Amino acid sequence: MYCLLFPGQGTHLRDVDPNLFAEFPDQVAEADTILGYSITELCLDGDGARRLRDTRFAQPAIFFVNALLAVRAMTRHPDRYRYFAGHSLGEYNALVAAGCLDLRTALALVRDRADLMARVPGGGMAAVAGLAAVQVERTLMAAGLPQVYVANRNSDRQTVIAGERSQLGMASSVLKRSGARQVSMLNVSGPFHTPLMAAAGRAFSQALRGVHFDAGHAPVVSSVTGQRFEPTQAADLLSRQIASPVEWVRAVLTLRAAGVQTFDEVNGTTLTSLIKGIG
Amino acid sequence: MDNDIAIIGISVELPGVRGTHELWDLISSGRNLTRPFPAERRAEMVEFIELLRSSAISEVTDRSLQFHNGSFLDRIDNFDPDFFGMTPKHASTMDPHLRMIMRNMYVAAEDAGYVGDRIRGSRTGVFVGFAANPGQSYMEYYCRIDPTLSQVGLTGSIPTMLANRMSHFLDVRGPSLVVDTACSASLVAVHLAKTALLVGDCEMAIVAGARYVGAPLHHPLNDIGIESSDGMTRTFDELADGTGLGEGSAAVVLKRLDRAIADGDQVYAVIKGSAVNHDGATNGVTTPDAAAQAALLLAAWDDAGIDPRTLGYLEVHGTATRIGDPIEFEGLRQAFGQHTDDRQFCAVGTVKANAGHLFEGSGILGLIKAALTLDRRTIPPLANFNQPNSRIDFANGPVYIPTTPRPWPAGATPHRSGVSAFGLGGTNCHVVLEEYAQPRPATPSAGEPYLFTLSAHTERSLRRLVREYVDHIDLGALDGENIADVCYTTNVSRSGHRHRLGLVVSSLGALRERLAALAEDRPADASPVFSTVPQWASQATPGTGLERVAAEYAAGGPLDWRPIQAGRAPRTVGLPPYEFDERRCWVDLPADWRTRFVGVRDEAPQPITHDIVFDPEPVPAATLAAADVRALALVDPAAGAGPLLTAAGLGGLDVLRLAGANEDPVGPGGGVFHHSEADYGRVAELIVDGGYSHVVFALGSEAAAAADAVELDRRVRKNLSGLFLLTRALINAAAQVTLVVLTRSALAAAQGDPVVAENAALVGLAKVIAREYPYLRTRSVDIDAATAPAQLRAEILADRPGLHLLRGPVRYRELFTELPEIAPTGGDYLRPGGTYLITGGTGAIGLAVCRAFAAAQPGINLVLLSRSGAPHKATWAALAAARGVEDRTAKLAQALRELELLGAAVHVRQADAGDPDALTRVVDELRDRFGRLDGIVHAAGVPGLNLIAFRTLADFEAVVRPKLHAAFALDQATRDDRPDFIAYFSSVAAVFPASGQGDYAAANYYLDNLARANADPRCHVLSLDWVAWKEIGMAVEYGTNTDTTFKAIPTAQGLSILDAGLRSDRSRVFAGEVHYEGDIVNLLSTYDIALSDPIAEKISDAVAARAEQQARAAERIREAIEALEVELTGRPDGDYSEFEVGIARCWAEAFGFPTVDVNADFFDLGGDSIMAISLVTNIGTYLGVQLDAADLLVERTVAGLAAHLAATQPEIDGIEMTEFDDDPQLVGAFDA
Repeated sequence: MYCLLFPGQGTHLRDVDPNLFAEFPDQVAEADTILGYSITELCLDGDGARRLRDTRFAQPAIFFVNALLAVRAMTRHPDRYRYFAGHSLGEYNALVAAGCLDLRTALALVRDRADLMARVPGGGMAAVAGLAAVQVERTLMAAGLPQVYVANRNSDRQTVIAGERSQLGMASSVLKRSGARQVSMLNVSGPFHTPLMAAAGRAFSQALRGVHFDAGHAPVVSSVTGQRFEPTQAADLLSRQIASPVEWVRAVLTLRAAGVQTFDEVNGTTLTSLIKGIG
Repeated sequence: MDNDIAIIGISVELPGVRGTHELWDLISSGRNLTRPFPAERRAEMVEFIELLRSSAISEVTDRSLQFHNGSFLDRIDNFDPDFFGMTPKHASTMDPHLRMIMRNMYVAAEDAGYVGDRIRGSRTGVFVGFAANPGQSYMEYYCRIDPTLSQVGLTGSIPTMLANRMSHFLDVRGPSLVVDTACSASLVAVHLAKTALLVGDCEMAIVAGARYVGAPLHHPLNDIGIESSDGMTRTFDELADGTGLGEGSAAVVLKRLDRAIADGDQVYAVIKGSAVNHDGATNGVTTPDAAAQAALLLAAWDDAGIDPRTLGYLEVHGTATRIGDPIEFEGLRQAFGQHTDDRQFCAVGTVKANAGHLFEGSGILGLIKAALTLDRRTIPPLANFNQPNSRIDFANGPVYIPTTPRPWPAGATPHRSGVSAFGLGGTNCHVVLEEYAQPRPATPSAGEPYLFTLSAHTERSLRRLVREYVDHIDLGALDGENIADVCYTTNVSRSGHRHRLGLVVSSLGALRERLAALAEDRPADASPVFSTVPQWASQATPGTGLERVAAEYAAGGPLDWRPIQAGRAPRTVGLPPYEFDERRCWVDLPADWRTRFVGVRDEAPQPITHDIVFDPEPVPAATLAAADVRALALVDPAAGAGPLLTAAGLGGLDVLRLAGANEDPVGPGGGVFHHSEADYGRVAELIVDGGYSHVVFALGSEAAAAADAVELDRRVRKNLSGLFLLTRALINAAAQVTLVVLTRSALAAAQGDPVVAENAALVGLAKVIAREYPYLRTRSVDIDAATAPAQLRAEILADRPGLHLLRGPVRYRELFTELPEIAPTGGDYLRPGGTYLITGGTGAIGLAVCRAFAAAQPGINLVLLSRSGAPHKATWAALAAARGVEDRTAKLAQALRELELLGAAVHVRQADAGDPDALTRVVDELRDRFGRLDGIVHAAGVPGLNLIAFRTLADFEAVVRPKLHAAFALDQATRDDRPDFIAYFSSVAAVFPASGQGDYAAANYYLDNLARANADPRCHVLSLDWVAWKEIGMAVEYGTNTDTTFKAIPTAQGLSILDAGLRSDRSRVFAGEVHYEGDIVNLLSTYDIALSDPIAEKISDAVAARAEQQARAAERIREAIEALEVELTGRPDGDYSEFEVGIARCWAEAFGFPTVDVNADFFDLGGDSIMAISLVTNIGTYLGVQLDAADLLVERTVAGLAAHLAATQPEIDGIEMTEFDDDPQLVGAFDA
């Protein structure tokens, strides 16, 4: 059984196929209207690379490229994918691909989500390699570092921590002393997926109010609970997602237990390589 | 013939000796190169050793400094990085062995006629004999000066690069490996290369060895024991007392003889055979063995298929030691004795007497000497030989010692020689050589013109080469060669570099005249000169066909020699080696190192125990106006803090009452709420939507302590779990309010104060809330019956974080102080025959306590309470013996058995400490059985491990119960018959809790308070706040037993603190030493608890010292970068911004280039991800800006980065990370 995966902000847009946007003129025009700027210029112009470092632009851009690539993949293999899942932002793509949301609504949501998330100041994220997630948590706890949290449980060997920037620096030194092979800052502006984002999550729940989610034609596995995404709970899950850790390991284990044997990924191989590290 | 290997290229580099001509001059003259350690190297080394001694942990008392004499190179710091395609920075961290080996391998390959296109892609093998010698590595040297260089220096330092770097540089595909057999290594490498050629692993092989001695210290502690007293090597001489140190490098190029002949290569000599063996078990691993050496020679002769009687010369190992020389002679005697009884027919000698011992490099130098002896058909003298060693019977042996050079007349068989090398660890190698007697067919040229080509990587090198060729011809080195072969050799092996010269010449004489003229920049005759050197190049248009070829060549075109040599069978001839354009590439010891050097400070011992006291403090001035406060209070009418709050007169106060079972839930406008997750969720929504500034959690305001377990449990659920549920709901609702946790007489301000102990747990939880979620500003206020409304109002308006106690008119804060000593007040606390209960007793720390008790008072009853239980006593011995030491059950059985062996009676009771009934039953049973419980250690507990926001109520309570409920149950169960002591194992979490420890902090805070509230003089109640134990226990299992803000406690230290605590009358000991030297000690200041002045001062000193250190380091980086002279290029108007100049300096520092093109791509210049990280760090430090390695991925040029900085800097908030981006994805991108 096949599952189609969608990366979140951890992927990059360096190698976007220059012909992709030309293939989908209608969608591109709609996106330009919803976003208020040219998505093509953002993704394909050299100057765009600078804007793409900003969460407000990065999230809609990644979402939109993911979405077009998904259309391509699903046109090529019409009946292949029985499950969909996405990492954080990618979850919106999974919902679109599964038929729970239409592209326009999802893009508008992503735009608002990005605005809210970008507003949370003074935080950062860092990937910790070489220590189990529970070990990362215990080490941070033993050191007594406040305001550093586990933000993504990505694989058996990679955990992303997030929080206040100066404390991330201390966390890095403590984690390395405890055996982490590498602690690397990620290029994001805030302490995403931590309780420090609670206000953004709450504000976003306003945006979700009144958005209708269809039952869809295929199940999505949630990166918040690691369980099947219940469209009836969508508003709650997606607002919680902003301030909750991404439970990617759980999501992958759930997908495997459901019988998924092959994971295809749009837009890079970030998730595929994480999955290799989930035992 | 089929197995014959030709030596077709040679390079030698010894002090003052370069190439085979100078080497032969040294050997045949019998000179030696021994001299004192060169002054410049000596001066640098003296400084460095001074640094080592100053920084040694054990004080160096003997400060004398003597150096051996030896055969030392003048310089080991030189290199030509451009030629080898390396950055100056890399070159400066490159091991001198590698430099020598690269130079000599290149020159040997060039000598053989195979460089550039002629060797690229071929299956040429690279073999190096080498051993890393402890204490002598260049990397150890420069990492002492600048540890950050270890990464950039890696590829220049690891031994495999000695071979691999050359394979990479030449782009050859044969085997590439390093051999370490100590002093025989480079000869073993020859043997392996020979074998590889014969089996077809490669078609050509380059073999090399090298040796330098960084610090040839003459000191009893440094000597290896084989060094000659005066640096002279006197092999086989009566005065021989050891080997002289030698430095240098040598390389040879090998090829199958048949191929070499077919390819027109020059052949110095032919390797006929070889053998390698080991001494086996001798008297000692470093003692040589004559029989093994004899067996080696016999095997080599057999391999070569020669009669040893036909050998005319043997290059012996000959280290000139008292033991080694007689053994080597004995080996020769035994081996020859197998074939002949003839005496003194074979000459022996060793180049070590001329050039010292090159250790791993010595074998190949001996091989070259043996080859040259055949090539020159001359037996050279053994240097430094005057009087034969009286312990050697030369007269009755096969060998003799030549003392003057003598011609080697032709005999019935070709001239043959051999070379031996013996490794310190017992690996021996011998190679048999034969002269190459067949004349190489040379087709004489008849005055027709040929194209002479010469090239170099720099113009300076080219000019030097021209002079070398003139000298070479003048010295007669080309006598007998013809101009066609000389030109052919230059065409195939000297023409591929950028700076070029092409001349059309018909004779060697003409070539000499024209080169001599060019060397002086004057015209020789009218013939045109084609060159990249402007002063040389003729303006004339090329005339003949050859001139046209020359013109194209000088213009950078490829050179095809075949038409030029058409109809000839060209031969390679010996020509001058390449002239490297070298300069000092070295990491300097800063001249002012003494002023920079900061020795290790004498750290005064810090107290390993601390105390937490309640310290009176006046009410601070209000920072809030009463009108600013809109509070929502949650009260329990049964407990009743409501009236006081109402009377406090806050700007706005709404009260929610905890409802009785049948009342309605919370509604608009306040009212009542139930203790349920749903209701707390609604309360949180109400708080956020209602715009409250304050929430007062006042449920825990009972006036008297819970009398029984049921009531205790009810209160813990209502108050502690209630606070947990409220907090979780507030976080989920993204509330941003001040949370006041109000308790009444929950804390014992003084020892023995009557308290409502269970409500103290709220304080522990409150401490964690703000650490996990800073938007909930949390305070704890513990009032008493006398607290006036105005006091509470003042407290809330003062708005101070942390815990405050209001006792009558006095206000207390919590203060963390040093406890340098625990004064003993009592004697032994364990009664003979007493009974002691240890909860958590089968855990590692519980068992350690049991052991300490059993050892201190043999014969006691130890009752171990364990949730998981233990195997039956009867099986302990068998289990301990039968299972592996890592088996948990076996380990436990072993530990229990040990307790019995110490004399204790051990009883294990299985019960969950979190189940008060079970606990009470155990206590009752014990009392029935033993009459009395004499002491209790409550060490049970499970850690919490999740943020309040993500924690379930059940998990929260599961952590609280084994500590809190268990302590209450133990206290209750022994109320009428008090034990001598109760020791509660509390935690640092009660004082300095971390995120995720809300439950654990709450339960432990309760334990601390319970001890402090004890008023019964018959029973000593002690609470110990442990930091992580270093060697055993939970922290070890979780891998968190490292030094953090506190140093982890060694077991012995922990047990001695427990012992001291029990001998004192203290009710509390904080067991942990502040880790002042650690990099996160400042975290202690971020907690709400006040720190005593001495502690605060030490922390601020430590932080200041660290900041100063960092500032010094940053300043050093700034100075180093500032000092760089860098020239910017790439913009016609020469106008560069400040940012560009600054960034260019950092690039210059990173790459070592003196010139930086502002438009050059970082990665094209040879940058890699590791360099990127240090570069952005340096740019950040030097320019005081925020930059990330990811930026370098987008902006890859100086100009681009400068533009990026100019555009973004004002927005940067100045927070600096200690770690830079090394995301695997980014690294991948960098590498791609």
